[in-house]
Amino acid sequence: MSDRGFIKETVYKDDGRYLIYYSIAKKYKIKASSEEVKASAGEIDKNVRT
Amino acid sequence: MSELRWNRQLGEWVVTATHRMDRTFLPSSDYCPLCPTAPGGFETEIPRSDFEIAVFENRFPSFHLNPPPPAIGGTELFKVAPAGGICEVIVYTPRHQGSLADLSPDQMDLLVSVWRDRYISLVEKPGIEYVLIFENRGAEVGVTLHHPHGQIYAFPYIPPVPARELQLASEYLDNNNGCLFCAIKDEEIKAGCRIIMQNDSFLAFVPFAARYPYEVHIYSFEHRVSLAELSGKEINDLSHILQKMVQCYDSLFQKSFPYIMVLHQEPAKNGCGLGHLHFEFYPPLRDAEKLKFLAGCEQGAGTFINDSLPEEKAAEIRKTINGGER
Repeated sequence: MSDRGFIKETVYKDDGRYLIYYSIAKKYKIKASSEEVKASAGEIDKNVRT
Repeated sequence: MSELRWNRQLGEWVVTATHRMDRTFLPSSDYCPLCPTAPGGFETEIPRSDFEIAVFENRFPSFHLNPPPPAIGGTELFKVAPAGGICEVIVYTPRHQGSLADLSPDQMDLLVSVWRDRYISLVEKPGIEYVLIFENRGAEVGVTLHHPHGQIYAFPYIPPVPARELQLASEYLDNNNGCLFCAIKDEEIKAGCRIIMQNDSFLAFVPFAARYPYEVHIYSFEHRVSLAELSGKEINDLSHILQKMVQCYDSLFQKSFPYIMVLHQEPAKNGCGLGHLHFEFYPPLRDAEKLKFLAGCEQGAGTFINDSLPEEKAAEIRKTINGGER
């Protein structure tokens, strides 16, 4: 797992090309659905200039 | 077959990639190569039945990891070279419908983190000089697969547009002892009238000399030369402003808004900190139904004619902000 909170898995196709699956690490998914992050996104919305 | 041919007249490489003529062209959703492989269904590029984001080497690449030798011998005037490099496809979501505008906040953050990871991985590869992350959206800009996705080209040279930007940034640094892009951003903030939106880390605006009516650039406030320098908070802010921008575009004419989106940042080598992370959107529309074509003056002279005032277009886009969220 990288320090950015995702899991990276590399596989190879029959023709030799690589294919990388990226997924959000579970603990970051939990964090991202928390009120803390929703509040953070709301804070950004407030800064949108109109 | 793929090779580089030197255009001596313009001083730039042209890629010939004849195999791309055979690439998949607007398949039905039942045969989309970017969808997950359904049990018992035909095998797509992604053999799993589900995923979050997938990156793979393009089946029809313009640049190859192990390029074939050029098909024709060069001369001193007509140089040829192998088209070494890497072309990747990034599939944003397993869902066939939708776009960057519909991704969840988690998925959007993951996408920016994947761009960052691919940039860091690719710039370190031998022979790579520049990494271009981009997305073509809509049939109007020649998209051949409608499944939400973007692309990455890892070039064996710095391509002309970013090279010109970096050359001008170098000259500006010599004459003014500062970053050209930071100066542009500060001037746009001072003018104010072309700003679309901003958050703690990024600023979106229609540039002073926009070449397309709805052209928008997104700059980092701090001098960040590449995605590699972004903090977690900046990744979150970038994903938010990019998605909001696409939602605003879609709200303009209440339809999926076509665009070309590119990310300019530091070259792989010899950049000397001259790059400044920024996104550029080039939408082909000049109103709901009319396209901006690159015609005689643009193609033959290199001078763009913009049929609108950037200040008026910025105001028009700004009006969509409150209603822009889906």
